[in-house]
Amino acid sequence: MNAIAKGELYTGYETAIATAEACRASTLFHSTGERAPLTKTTDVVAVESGMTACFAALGATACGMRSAGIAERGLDPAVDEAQRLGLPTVFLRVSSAPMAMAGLHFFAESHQTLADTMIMAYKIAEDKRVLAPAVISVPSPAMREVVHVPSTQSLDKFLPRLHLAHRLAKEPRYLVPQRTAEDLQNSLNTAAALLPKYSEAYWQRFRRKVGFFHTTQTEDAEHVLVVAGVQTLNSQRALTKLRAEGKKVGVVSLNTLTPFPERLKETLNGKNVAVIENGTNAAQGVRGLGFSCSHYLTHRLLNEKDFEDVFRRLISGAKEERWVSS
Amino acid sequence: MGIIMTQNEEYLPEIQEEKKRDVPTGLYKQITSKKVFRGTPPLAGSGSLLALKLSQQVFDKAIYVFSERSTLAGIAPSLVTCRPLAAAIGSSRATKDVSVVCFIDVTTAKETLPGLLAAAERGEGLTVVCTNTHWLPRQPSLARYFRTGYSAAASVGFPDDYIQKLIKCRDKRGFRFIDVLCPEPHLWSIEPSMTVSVARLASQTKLWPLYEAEEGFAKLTRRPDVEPVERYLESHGRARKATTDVGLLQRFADRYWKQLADGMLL
Repeated sequence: MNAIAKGELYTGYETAIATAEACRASTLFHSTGERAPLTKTTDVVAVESGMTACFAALGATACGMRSAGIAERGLDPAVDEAQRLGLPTVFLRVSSAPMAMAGLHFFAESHQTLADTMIMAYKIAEDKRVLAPAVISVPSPAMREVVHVPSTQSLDKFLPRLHLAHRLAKEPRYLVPQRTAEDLQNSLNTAAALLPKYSEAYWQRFRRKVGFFHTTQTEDAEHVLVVAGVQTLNSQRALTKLRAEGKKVGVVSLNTLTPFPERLKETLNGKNVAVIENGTNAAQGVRGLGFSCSHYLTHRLLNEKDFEDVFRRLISGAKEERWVSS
Repeated sequence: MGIIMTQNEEYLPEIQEEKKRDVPTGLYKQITSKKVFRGTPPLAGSGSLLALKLSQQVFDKAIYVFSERSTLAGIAPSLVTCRPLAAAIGSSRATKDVSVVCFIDVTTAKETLPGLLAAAERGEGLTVVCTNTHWLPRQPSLARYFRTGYSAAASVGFPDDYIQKLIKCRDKRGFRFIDVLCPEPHLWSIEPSMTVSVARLASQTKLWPLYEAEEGFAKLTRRPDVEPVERYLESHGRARKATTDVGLLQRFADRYWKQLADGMLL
């Protein structure tokens, strides 16, 4: 059986729609103002704001239908609400900034990773022991890349239809926000245990992986840069250049922030580390690491030269916290 | 015996209005005799509770969405969120065969007015019931904003008119909005037994005309026996404080009524 579909040239937005359709999602809400491509099963709805998109996705999930919402901002209350209601909605966030959020938080570094992560996010979030929302940070949505989205038939065995026990239906039912922070922590712990298992199953079926994080030449590296999502590609280019000069550098790219990758600490042990984060929410990643390191903040997509600069500062032994925003 | 007499007097206007009923008496009795609440709900004399009860009696099976800050949130089986309108839009998109009814209070409705108008423009298939508990004279109903879909101003003082509008909402497609005047004893400083009579008086004095609008064209649905606005102002303390210029208020009421009678929304 040909499990992997033919590659298509998709933007991030189209990737999300194609994946939602492959996952048999009933609706996808967005406020991007883009023209919706023709879809057979998924209802693609343009609404007036990102927050409405997210809450509408939440409302659709409450009725027991798989759904997704795309937003740039205004996600936080919807994620918080979905967690308290125990609804496995998937939210796509058009930004790579890490946030303090009440759900699973994934980063996608390319459109292909977005498609895989979205499937994995549904798989984990809909597990009866998790039932928490998932947020995926989407990379540059306007770019086009070749994406292999698995076909609906091939996904059916990996991702069966959603059966939400506490959904709203014709029978009267109360659905009131009542899940606590403790429930969230339990959900995250379970999700952390489930991710390797499901990742392996996904690898067996589709030959692609969605893990906690992946490393590039960190085994013998002395200086390691921790990045996430969209920043990965350019940091790897800078790494190739510095390796050619004989510098022992490496890159760790995070795929998840919550649940936090516990094995990251082992990987970074005894190395000179710098963390690069998008946005102003300082020290999110650093707190998770639990040891002191350099910390760089930015609000844009860094280019190869910026990363080279950061690597050279790291090699020179600087322990600092600064903005990279030239 | 005396108590029974007072009760009869209180319901006298409704009995007089019996002949003018829009809903046939048999259907009215059938709808209103349906039992919806388990046990005795709190909020004695609450207008919004009455609005919810009638809505549940008309919509046999529906998904209800409530605002977190609504006093009704715990009373009926429903989805409770902090953005009820958006969640209701999502629910209505996900379920094709079940009606979705979103109950929002007037403060939430005013805050989410752009969202409501956008939903009306997109023709989202849901019913939004706004329980207007903070109404003051000279405030027209929110139903005037909708130029697409079905919108109506109703009152718990005229339950059969409200029921007829709910039946229309149940049977129609597209966006439906009802603004219901719901006096609340604890907010309006009135006796729980006065809820219906105060609501009736607001419509009788032309301050809260009962109308419906389809695609922007208004139609008065009930022309009760008209009273001067002083009658409403004298009825309770909150209304008395609302204005000092009675003449101005009377002119406003007359103009508002005439406009609606001519088929125009404000």
